[in-house]
Amino acid sequence: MTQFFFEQLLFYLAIGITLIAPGYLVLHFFVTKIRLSHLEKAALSVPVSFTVTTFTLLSASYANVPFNRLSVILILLITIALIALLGSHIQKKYSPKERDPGDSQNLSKKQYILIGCIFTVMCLTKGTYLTTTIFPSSTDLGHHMYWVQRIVTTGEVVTYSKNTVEADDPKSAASSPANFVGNQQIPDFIIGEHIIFAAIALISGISVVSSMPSLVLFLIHIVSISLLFLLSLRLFEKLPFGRNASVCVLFTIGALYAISGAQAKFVSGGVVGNILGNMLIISSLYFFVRALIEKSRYCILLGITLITALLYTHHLSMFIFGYVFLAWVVLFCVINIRTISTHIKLWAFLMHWSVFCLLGGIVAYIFLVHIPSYLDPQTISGSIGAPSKSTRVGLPLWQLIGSSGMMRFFFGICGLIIFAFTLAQFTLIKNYTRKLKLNVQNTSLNIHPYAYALVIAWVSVLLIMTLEPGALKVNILSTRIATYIIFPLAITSGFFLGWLIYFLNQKPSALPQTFSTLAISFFFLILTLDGLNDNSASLKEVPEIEQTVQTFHNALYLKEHAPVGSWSLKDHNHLESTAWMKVFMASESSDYSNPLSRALLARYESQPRRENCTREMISNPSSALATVCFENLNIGLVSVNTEQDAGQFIRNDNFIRVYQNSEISTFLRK
Amino acid sequence: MNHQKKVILFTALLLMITMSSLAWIERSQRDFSNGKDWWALSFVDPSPASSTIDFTIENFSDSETFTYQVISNQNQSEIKTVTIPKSSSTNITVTQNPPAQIQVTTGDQTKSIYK
Repeated sequence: MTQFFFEQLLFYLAIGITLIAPGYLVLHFFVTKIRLSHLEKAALSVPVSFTVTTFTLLSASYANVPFNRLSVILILLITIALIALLGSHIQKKYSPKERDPGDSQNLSKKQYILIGCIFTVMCLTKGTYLTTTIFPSSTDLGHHMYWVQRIVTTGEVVTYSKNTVEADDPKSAASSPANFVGNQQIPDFIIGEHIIFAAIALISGISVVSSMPSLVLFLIHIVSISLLFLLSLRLFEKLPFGRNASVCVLFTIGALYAISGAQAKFVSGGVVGNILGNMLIISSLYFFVRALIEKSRYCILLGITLITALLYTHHLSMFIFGYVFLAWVVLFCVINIRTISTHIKLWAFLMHWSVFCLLGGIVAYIFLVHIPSYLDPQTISGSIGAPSKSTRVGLPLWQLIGSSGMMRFFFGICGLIIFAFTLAQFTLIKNYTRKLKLNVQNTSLNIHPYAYALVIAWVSVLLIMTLEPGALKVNILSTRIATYIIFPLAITSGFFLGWLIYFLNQKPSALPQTFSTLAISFFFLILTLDGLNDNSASLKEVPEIEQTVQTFHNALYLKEHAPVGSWSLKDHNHLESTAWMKVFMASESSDYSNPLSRALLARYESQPRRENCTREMISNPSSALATVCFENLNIGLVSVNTEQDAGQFIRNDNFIRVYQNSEISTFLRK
Repeated sequence: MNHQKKVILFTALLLMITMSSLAWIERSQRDFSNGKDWWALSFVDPSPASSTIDFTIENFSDSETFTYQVISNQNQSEIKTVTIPKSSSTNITVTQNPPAQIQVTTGDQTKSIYK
C-alpha cells in the first residue's frame, strides 16, 4: 500500500512537471494581452505543456544529452525555471498589472453545477469501462510502448526502423522461402507520440507495462473534451443561448456516447496519435479562432506552435487538420467574396516579425534538428489521390451514423442545417446591402463569420472525407477518418439543442408552454437514451487478463533464454496480447520485428505477395519450406498456443519443448 | 473562491480519484497470481547442449501440491511430490541427463517439457 502511495505521488509529480507546469507558466506570463479564464488556463496548460516538453526533450537529445531520471527532471525543471524567470521579467517590463481573468465566460451557478455533474458522469462512465480494459493488452498500445521502452532503456530518441522479412520470390510467395532484406524505415510512428510517455516513465519510475500509458491518454482525452467545451463557448460567445449550447456540447460528448469510437475505447486501445491529435487540433483551432476574432498575434503564435507539435505527433491528425483549415479558409473567402479585400487588410496583423521568426524557426528545426519520420514524398503521395483499397473508398452512411451515435449524428446534422441556413441568409443580406459587418448584431443568430465558417467547414469536410473520400483525393482508411467527426458533430448537436431550448422558450411564443416543455423533454430523452444505450453496449466487453499475464510471463522467459543472436517467433492468432512481447524484450540491440509473428491468417490470403515463412513455420514446421525458413531467419524459440499448435512441434524431432504454462508452449529449435 | 476555481478543483480531484482507482485495479490485474489460477513449467537451462534437465515450477494457482516424474530412455523415475505455495517458484534438481521428459501434475492438469 505504501509503495502504491509513493508510486502515485511520483506519477502525479511527473504529470505536473511534464503536462501542467510548463504550459501554465507560458499562459500565465506570456499570454497577458488576451483574456483567459481560469478554466481556459487550466485546460490549455496541457497541450501547451505537451508541446514544451516534447520540443525540450527532442532538443536535448539533439544536443546528445542522454535520458535518465535525473537528466529528464533537470532538463524540465530548468525549462520551467527559465519560462518563469523570462516571463516575470517580461511581465514587469511590459504589463506590470496582470488583469484578473475572473469569470469571463459568465456562466451561471446552475450551469456550473451542470458542468460538475457532467464531469462526474463522464469520469464514472469512462472509468467503469476502463476498470476492465485498463490492463495493458491492446495491440496498438503494445506497438507504441515498444518505442517508449526503447527510449527508456537506451536513453536516446529512437529511429523508427525494423528488419524486414520478404519472400525470395514474391511472385510465388506461398512456396518461396523468405529472408531478411534489410532495415526499413517505419513512417507510421512519430516521436511526439512517445517522448511524453518516456519522460513520465523515467521521472516516476513506473513501468511502461502498466496502467501509466492509458492513464496519460485518459487525462489527455478528458482535457480534449474540456477544450471542445471551451471552444464552443468562444464560438457561441455572442449568442443568447451560447452558454446553454456549450453545456449541451459537453453533455453530448462527455456524458453520452462516452466510450465508443475515439473516446474511452481509444484510451485503452492505445490509439495514441488520435487521442493526442484531437487535443492538439482542438486547442490550435481554439487559438486560431481567437486570433482571427480578436486580431491577437499571441494566439496566432500559440496556434502555430501547437500545430507544429501536431506535425511531430500524428500524421493522420495533421492531414485532417490541413483539410479542415483549408476548407475553413476557402469557405470564409467564398461567403465573403465581395468584401474579401477588406478582410485581407484586417489580416495584416499576421504580417509581423514574430510570426515570420516562428515560421522560420520551425522550418529550421525540421531540417536541422529532427525531421518527422513520415515527411517523405512516398508516404505523402500515398495518402493523397484516388482511394487505392476497398477500405478507403468511404463508409456507407449507416455505418457512419452507427459509429458517431445515431441521435448525436441526427442532432448534429440538424445543427449544421440551421448553421448553413443562417449563413446563407446572412450572406444574402450582406451581399445585397454590400456592407461589411464583422459583428452581425442584427441577425437572429449572432455568430462571428469565422465561427460560422469553421463549424460548417469542420463538419462538412469530415463528412465528405468519410463518405466520399475520392471527391477530396483522400486515400486513407475511412473508418479512421470517421472517428474525427464526433468532435465537430458534438458542437453542432449541442448548438441544435441550445437553439431548440431557446426557440421553444421564446416570449411571446405562438406555442403553448406545455408543448415546449414536452418537446424539449422528448428531444433530450431520446438523445440520452440513445447515448446511454451506446455506453452500456460498450461496457459488456470483458478482457482476457489471465491469458495476457501468461503471455507476459512467456515474454520474460523468451527474453532471458533466447539463444544469443537468434530470433524468436510467436503466433498472433491464438495467443493474447502478443504485441506486448517485444516491449519486454526491448533493449539497445532489439528489433521491432522480434519476435517475428504469424499474423492473422486472412492477411496471407489477402496479400498474395506477402512472405509465407511466418505462417508455414508455425502451421507446418516439418515442411521443406519451413525448414529453410527456420534456417534463413535463424529462429531459436517458438511460442504457440498449446491446444492449437503444439502438436506439430511435438511430432518434429528438431524441436524440444522448454516451457509450458496453461496457454503457451515454447519450443526450442535444436 | 469563484465558481470556476471550484469546478477546476472538483474536476482535478475527480480525475485523481478515478486515475488512482484505475491504477490500483490494474496493479492487482497485472499481478501474476492475484485472482488467477495458472502455473508454468520450464527448464532452468533450455539449451540442448546443456547436460542438465533441472526445471522450475512457478505457481500462480490455488493448488500447492505438485507431483513430478522424470521419463528418461523409457525408464520412469518414481513420482515425487513438491509443495509450492501460491506466488512462489521452486527449482528442482534432477540427477538424470537428457534426453528426458519432465512431467508435472497438479489436480487434473499435466504439463510436460522435454529435451
